[in-house]
Amino acid sequence: MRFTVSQADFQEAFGSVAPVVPSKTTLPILSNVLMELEGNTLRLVATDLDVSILTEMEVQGERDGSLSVPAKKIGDIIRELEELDITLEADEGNRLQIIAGEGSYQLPGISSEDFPSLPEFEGAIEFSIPAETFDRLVQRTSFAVSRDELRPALTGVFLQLRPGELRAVSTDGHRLVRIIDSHFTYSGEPRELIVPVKALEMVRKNIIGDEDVKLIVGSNQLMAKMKHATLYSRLIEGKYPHYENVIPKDNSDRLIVSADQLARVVKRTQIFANPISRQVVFHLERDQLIIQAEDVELGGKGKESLPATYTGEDKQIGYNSAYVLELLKQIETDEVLFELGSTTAAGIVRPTEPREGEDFLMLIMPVRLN
Amino acid sequence: MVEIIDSTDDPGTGGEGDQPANEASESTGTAGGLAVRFPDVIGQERITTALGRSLRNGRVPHAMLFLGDDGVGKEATALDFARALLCRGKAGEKPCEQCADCAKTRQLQHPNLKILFPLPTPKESSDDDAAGEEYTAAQQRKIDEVLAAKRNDYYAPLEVQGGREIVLEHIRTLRREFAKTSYSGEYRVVLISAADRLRVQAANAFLKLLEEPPGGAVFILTSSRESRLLATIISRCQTFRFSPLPTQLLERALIERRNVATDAAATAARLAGGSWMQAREWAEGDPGRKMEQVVGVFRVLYKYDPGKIDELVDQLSTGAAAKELPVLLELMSIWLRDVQRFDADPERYAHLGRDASLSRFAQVCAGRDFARAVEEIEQARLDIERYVQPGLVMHQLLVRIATLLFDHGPLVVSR
Ligand SMILES: [Zn+2]
Repeated sequence: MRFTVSQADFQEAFGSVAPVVPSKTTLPILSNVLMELEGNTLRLVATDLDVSILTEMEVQGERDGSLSVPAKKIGDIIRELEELDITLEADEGNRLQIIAGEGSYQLPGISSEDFPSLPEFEGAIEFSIPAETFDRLVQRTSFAVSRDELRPALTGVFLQLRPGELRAVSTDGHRLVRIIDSHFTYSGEPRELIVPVKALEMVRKNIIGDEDVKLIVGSNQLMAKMKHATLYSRLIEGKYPHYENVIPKDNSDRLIVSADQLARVVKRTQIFANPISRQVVFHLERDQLIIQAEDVELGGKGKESLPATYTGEDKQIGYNSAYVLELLKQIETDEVLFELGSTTAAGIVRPTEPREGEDFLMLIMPVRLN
Repeated sequence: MVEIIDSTDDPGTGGEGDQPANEASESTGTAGGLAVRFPDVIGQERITTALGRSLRNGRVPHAMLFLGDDGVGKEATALDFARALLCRGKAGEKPCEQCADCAKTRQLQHPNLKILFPLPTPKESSDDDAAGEEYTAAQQRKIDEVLAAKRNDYYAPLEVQGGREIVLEHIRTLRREFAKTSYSGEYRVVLISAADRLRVQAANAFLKLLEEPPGGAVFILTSSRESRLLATIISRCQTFRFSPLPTQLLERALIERRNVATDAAATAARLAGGSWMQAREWAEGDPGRKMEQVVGVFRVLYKYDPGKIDELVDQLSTGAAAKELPVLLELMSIWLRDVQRFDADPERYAHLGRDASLSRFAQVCAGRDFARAVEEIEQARLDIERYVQPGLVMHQLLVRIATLLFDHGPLVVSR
């Protein structure tokens, strides 16, 4: 393998695969980045076996070939080089020679044979999602994913593909997000999969501009094809819980309040909440909402009211303030709508005006008041 | 806090206590003519045949326990079997040595092959994503070296200095692994070396994994200390018992694989106690020269000069030589058995280049009580182990042997 490339181009391409390289691994080969040259196309691949990423770039190819090289070392030297053309060459002994101006550096590599092959996709399902939709789906769902490894299914985002409809769901047991995209162009068999949140975030970071993201579901892996990179991710095994059962059907009390103002009030009052429970109490009244927090042990107390429209009986409901703030961040409309039932039932939170082609709701569990 | 999702909704509650086997799927299915090879393994045909059959029938057990002494090939068998399981070549042989998977498994670099062995307990990591392991650079280098040695030789021991137990964090890594779909292919193999060093907490985490064996998972546990294994582990695995390797097999392997001279190979093989690693160690230590020393001892006894015997006892039982006494005694037993059997099958010893002396001693000692002499040697070995003064033990032994074999009969020698 031998090719010449501009330092800046190489660094940029390298930068899109390097974040996948694991810092610690029991499989030494994973510390390496695979380079494969075919004609004038250089392919770079990195994997931590959960997520693999591949990017291709144009170079001046001289001799086809491939080699895997330690990611950290090559990243370090490329970054330090002056901006000019560099020539990379692999020799018989699996060493990589880097020639840049007067400098010449040599790096021991490992045969590309040892590098994990990218997964094959047989009988796969394909579909496309516009970049903006993909971005929204991930942003709306990723925050509510569980970190509890003992319930692996909840550590991913649940995708349900149906003809004309894509659902994305996430929950950690305390809150739940469901977003339904009805602009979804898919006509295949219904299919369900649980995708690790890390993979979705990684795809999101690699989207450039308003391209479509092409997703391909294989038996073991999901592939996301973007303009300049292709990402592979293993899926999470196991069954996702029947989340539809927990979405209340008869929450008839409606609270409408300025999302921005509510967020600011909660931020202020939570300072006085018990730092462990982070509990704030919503006092619901016809024309106003009072937010109150109290730390009984330390004696701190906070209370603030804001104008609101509320249709139900007066009542008090406790919430974890951090969860409330996270939900409010997802609201794009000026006002937020709470659909509430009893003081112990899950509340539904959504924008007052749904977006065209999108049904978006979040659930939040109350905290028991003492 | 109230939870939205009820835990009864959690996937995979229940789960059978049985040890279901991996059912065949099309990819490796029931190809009739498939030959499963174990190119690195010496002997152990009974076990390799059974393993090969399980792969052909698509009934590979989810959890296997390989029991047997160190150096008999438990891990070599496990690794060759892993290579067969992970090979996706189209050839009629597994491992085919030609496919991309085979290239990776040979180097123990395959995504679907995990190897766990006792390691020092890592420092608790501050970084959540780093899977909790934090070894110092020096420790990491030692670990890498052990794995590199294993890559070159599947019999190399997976032992790291300070490695006391199978680290709980590493079992948790397995849990993360099996929560996701396979990286590629059907099987996922985990080798847990020295499974007797799974402490309760790690063992429980491991058993939890076994409760609902993930599809395609094949766990192979090895142990040379059966009595220290947790009963819960044993009961969950299908057990395979590895026997000590027969002497001839070791002898041949030393000659063929290690280029050991025939004479040295024969001696080393007999000293090895059925262990390939010990056979190699003996072969490296110039066993021919040691055997010469033994023949020398018997020559002195035959000639029977009391002064010479005293001198010999001094030589053998003082200083550095004293430490070598157990080996010397072992070799003396071997030599006696050779002498005893020589007349029945002189051919067998032809290649050792010692048949002249064997033949002479066989003549001289014909009809003597060899069994008794061997017993005396064993008794001396035990005495030395119990710290009886070596000089005393050796003197008594040599005189007894001289009496038994050469009729030099009971002597009163000053001592
Ligand atoms: Zn193969």
